[in-house]
Amino acid sequence: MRIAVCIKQILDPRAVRLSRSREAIDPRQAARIVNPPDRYALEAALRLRERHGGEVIALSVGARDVSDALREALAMGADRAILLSDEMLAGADASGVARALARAVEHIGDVSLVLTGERALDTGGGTLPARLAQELGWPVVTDASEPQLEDSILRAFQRDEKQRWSVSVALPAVLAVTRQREKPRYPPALRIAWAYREAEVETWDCDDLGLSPEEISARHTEERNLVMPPERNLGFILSGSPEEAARSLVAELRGKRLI
Amino acid sequence: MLRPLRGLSMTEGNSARHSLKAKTMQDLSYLEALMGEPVGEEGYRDIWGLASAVEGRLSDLSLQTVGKARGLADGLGAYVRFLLAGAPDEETAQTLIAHGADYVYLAPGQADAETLAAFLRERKPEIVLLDDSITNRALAARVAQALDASLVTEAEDVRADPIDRALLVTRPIYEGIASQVIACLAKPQIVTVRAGAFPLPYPDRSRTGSIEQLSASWQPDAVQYEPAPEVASPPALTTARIVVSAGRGMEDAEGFALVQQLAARLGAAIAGDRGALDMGWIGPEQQVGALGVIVTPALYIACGIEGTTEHYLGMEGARAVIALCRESDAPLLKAADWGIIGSPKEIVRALVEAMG
Repeated sequence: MRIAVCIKQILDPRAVRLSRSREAIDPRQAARIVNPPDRYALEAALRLRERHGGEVIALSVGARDVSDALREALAMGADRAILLSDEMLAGADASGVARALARAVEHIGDVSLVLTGERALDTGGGTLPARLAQELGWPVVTDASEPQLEDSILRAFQRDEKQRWSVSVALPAVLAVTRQREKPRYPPALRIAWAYREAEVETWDCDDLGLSPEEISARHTEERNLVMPPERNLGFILSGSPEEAARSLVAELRGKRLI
Repeated sequence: MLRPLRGLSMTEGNSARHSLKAKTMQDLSYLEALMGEPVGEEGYRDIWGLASAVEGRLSDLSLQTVGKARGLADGLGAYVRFLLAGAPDEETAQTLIAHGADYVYLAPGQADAETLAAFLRERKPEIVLLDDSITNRALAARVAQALDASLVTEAEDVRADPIDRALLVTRPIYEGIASQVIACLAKPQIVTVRAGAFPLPYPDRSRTGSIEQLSASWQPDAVQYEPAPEVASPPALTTARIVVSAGRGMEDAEGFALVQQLAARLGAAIAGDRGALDMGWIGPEQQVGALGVIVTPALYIACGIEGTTEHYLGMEGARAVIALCRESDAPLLKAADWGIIGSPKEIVRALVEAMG
């Protein structure tokens, strides 16, 4: 079975800071990492391969430096890594990226499962898995965990806002995974050395995929200004009896939508 | 002198030309609404929504969404049209109307992307509002991709640009450290609205609207869903949105049990400081601090932690901090957004109760 895993390179969201004076994101402290949910997707793909055989192909979109993310995927155990890199793709939004990834999955051929993280933790809206499924004409299961394969039926769990579901879907399908019990593996040293020194990251451009500029470059949305969260006012003590203080704290938290 | 039009906020600094442009657009839209047919080459008009009735009820989020749709529609001179899926009846349709809908279309069953996309392609809405949920996000994404529409998920705020009618939607980025305003360039403009982003509208039972039964039906989903047993699995510490952390101030096992109750109530991860580790309540992988785990949740609740520097370095990245301390000179109180001084055990018990 061929499994394609779509990964995104992002700025480490835990190290991104806000610059209030410039009303902008300050990325200077933030390293470029593989989007954490995508690493769980890769782990899930590797586990499926271990049980059922086949091939795991890591896919990403971006400039040449994104190949580092793909090398990490190779180190973890992916069989192939393909980077979709083209100037035309640089300005593409979620719709264009989904289209390019879908075309790449078709171009690879014989892929029966596409795995990806539930969302990108930078500015992602969590729409890519469903967009990709739409382009491929496949069903999608989002926010899935513990994928299992029985014959060509994929089973997984999904937790929505209310409850947990057991879902099953016939392949081919797109599956967007949440953080799983099984943590992404740490690659062995030899494999890391191989991935960064010798392994090949294939690079495809729009010509290889037969994509025309009109298909991917249309802009549907435009980012405008940032809205800063209110300044924190530290050291505020709630008074009264424990019950009174607790009630006013809960009201504060609900008002600020923290709970 | 141009008078500001109803529902249009004329911000300072708009030139007279802009105001005139806005006025013409407003009037054009009213004309369209009155004529009942599209004017202009695009013809994208009205605000559509999708709500789902479960056991004769609509969720609070659906009511917030229809209320927001009403507000936008008043500003833009448009009608609010809602598809009512699930198990709709006359009464839930009337509830939608009372909260702001003009037209309700009963469409029993579970909405699917193909049918919805085909429907919207024909109806050409200017705006589509959906409740933000896991299911609706995937539905909206498929529809947006099929229609080449603009889509913004998890909206915290939605307003229409008074000049060109484009929606300006605010949504969180980088797991909520700030919010980004996103302008919609393509039509239809699809937005999924976050729970609690907008107030629950006051129902007006005297509002009238039209209710129609749709003949077309939804397609079955290729994915089979069956209810699965719940497994209580607290979220991972480093990625949890809320972390509840215990310290020696919780006194004993009973105190720590209260902390566990609070965490379960909030769906939060459980952690502790060095003191909690020494008491045997938590494992080393749950110890927050420079020498343990570094956490960056949206909310960090420290129960009975006075606060050492070592602990502080592990949680300084939290976006909001609550400190429940016995001593009024506890160092953590100075680093907390809210502090309560007293017996941590009693306060945690009161908190669990106050959350209902």
